[in-house]
Amino acid sequence: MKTLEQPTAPSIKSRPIYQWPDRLPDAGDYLFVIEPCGRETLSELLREQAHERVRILLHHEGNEASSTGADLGPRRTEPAIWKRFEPKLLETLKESTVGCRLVVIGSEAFLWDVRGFAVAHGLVDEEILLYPMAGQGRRVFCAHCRTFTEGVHVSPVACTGCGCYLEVRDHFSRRLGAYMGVRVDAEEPGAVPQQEELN
Amino acid sequence: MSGHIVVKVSAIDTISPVVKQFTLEPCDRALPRFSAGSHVVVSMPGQDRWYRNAYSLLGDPADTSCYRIAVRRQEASRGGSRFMHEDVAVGDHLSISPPSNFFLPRWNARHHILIAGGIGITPFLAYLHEFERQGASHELHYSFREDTTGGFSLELQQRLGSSLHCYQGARPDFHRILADRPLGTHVYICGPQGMIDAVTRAAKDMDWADTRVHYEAFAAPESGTPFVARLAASGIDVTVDDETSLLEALEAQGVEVPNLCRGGVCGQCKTAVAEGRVEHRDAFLDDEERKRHDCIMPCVSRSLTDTLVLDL
Repeated sequence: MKTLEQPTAPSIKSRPIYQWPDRLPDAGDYLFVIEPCGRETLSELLREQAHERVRILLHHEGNEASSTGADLGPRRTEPAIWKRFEPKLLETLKESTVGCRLVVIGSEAFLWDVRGFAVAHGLVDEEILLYPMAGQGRRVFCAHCRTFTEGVHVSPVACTGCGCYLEVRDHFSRRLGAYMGVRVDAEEPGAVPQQEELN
Repeated sequence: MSGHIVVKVSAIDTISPVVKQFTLEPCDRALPRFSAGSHVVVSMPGQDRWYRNAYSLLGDPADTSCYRIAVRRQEASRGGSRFMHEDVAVGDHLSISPPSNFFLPRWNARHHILIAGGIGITPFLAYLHEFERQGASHELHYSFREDTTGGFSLELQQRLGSSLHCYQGARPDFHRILADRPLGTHVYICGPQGMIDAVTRAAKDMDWADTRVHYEAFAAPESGTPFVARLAASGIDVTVDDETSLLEALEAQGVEVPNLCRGGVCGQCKTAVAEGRVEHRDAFLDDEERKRHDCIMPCVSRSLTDTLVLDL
């Protein structure tokens, strides 16, 4: 299972620590919502045991490099990928009943998008399992122009909205499914340190 | 206890042969607002000591011109419910605590299933006012012994119509009640412990997350073996007889311990134990804390040893 490497001691409290079991708890009804990168993990989980009812929803449109265009108003944070997938997920949740367990496998940003949507439609956190896949990069939220930059592997990174060089912080917003990005050269414009690989 | 409110009993209505409803009006100051699911602790002067019982507020939370409580006369009353039934008359004054709430509705729920047993209907009467006002989707399953505790069923029939399900002298099929519910459904139980256990078991069978299941686990203190509570600071020994709770015994000696629910739920009265072993009867401490025997909820819990030394 190629899940995200977890920091043993997170530098900051807001960074989620995931608890994924190798074997899913016994429940009658499982709904899997996955991205293509989660296929292998899904089959490993399903190999382990049989469930009465399993439904799988694949989100295969992939993360687009940047979430929005330039002129969508003051808040440019709606991930574009979500728009097409949302009706499918909504329909599936509407036909689900209490007792259903949701398992989300994919990039960290995707997990929190799905989790937020599911909670808004009646699931509780105890019913949701999140499996973040390694190598998918981070979603970064620009604290200045409020644009998402997807699949970020390095810091600082150029914001796809305003072009500022952002230091990618470990501070994570569960609501946005994103790490905070703040301008790295705010004090001294142009002084952009060398990029470093993010873990 | 601080912050006591003096109220006047303005009406007493017989709801059923064993249930009386008391309407309480303010005397010197306006009554505080309360939320659905709140209770107050009523202090009653007994012959040799004070009784303090918690009762749910069953009126409309938007109406603070009066509070309403309903008291079921308990066969094995320690004194409180008998006092309310026999010694309280219209025009009398009572001392009550400000309302507190350990049984709030989950406002983000999309559907509320209420399950009441007997006098356990009371917090839900307040819920229903709030649900009706907010247009929240709900249903009520009300189980009671024929002609004894079902006194509110006529009023409820008018208010709820087809979303009221009454069970006279029969236990509802909880598995059926919980089956095939849309996401966002929460269930609330108020009734005898056996009913709470049966619903939580059914919910577990059907993979309901614990956080969807809410109950009011109030327990009146039950009798036990007498013991002595020694106060470490002063060396005073307080005798706790079989019918009195530790909290009541301390209060009788003038030792004030902060408390709210007096039913082992809220954790306010948690008191450190220096020596002795505790017979835990509360619903607040977890297993690890119980094993350490270094604290006690004196409102319901007692001592396994003849003497219990308290850090008081």
